[in-house]
Amino acid sequence: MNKEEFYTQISDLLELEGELETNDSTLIEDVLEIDSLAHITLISFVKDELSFDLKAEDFSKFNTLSDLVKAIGESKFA
Amino acid sequence: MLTFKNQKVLISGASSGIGYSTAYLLNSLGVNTVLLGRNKSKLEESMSKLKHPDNASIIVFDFLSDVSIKDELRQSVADSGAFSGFVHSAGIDSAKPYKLLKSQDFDTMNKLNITAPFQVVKDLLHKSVFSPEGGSIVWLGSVMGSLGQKGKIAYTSSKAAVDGFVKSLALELAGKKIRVNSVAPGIVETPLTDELFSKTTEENIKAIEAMHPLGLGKPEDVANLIGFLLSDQSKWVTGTTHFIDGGYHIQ
Repeated sequence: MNKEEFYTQISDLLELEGELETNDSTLIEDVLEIDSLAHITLISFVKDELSFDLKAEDFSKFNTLSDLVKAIGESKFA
Repeated sequence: MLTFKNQKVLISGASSGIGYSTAYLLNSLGVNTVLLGRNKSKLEESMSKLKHPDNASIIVFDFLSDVSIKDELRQSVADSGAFSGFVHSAGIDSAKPYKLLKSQDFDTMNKLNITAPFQVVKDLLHKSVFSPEGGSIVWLGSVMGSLGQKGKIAYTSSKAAVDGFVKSLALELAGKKIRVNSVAPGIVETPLTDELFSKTTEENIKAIEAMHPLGLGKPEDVANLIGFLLSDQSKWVTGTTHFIDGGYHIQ
């Protein structure tokens, strides 16, 4: 999965279309506020698809989706 | 005062949490305690902390990968006599919304909560392994087996299955004087709960705590109920789910 596909999947999972455009500069806090399940959804998705363990508290360290990608590791996005 | 006549109990998930607290309680009351778990060093450490480690032993077994426990049970009987009880306390947490949930997630949950420990019970109930005088089996369900929660579809459905499972097994085993019950705890402060809380926000954790009028539980709170269900004093109790949740489910 490349970075654009990652963003698209997040958009689909959280039904962000029409609510929020997903790209490098999308604010994490805007993504998480869209749904009460957003934390669990993102943590499960990243674990299943990219084998990366996130904790809810980690999100406070990220400003944008790009920061999340960097934390996971750019190399995981082929 | 709870009494346990000639009892020997196998406890899964005994390295930590409710399983360990149950092992500690029973061992303190003179019950021969067999701790079952995946990790040998953790089991040995837990056994060493019991009040009477000389009246305890361990069996290393993984419900998700090991197939048979027959040899280990037979060896245990040869070492310290027949079993009279089983507590299934091993568990895993799963939090996934429906969009990410796969059939394998249900398979894993049901294997750990029902099918794999059921095979252990079948092996345990062999006439050369289990006491002819009868005994007691206790399964860990959850208050979530009767309620719903976002992100917990696989977990709640599997825990709901536990409630039906114990009713039917209780009827089949009543003739052998073997009682079968489940306990349905609310949120208890265990390593599994720590894992669950790591995936949610501080705000959600406070909301979960607020759902328990008596506050979150301690492992020993649940162990005390399990101890009663294994004791001679509960000889007329079978096929029942016992809530122990600080008032969670009554709201």
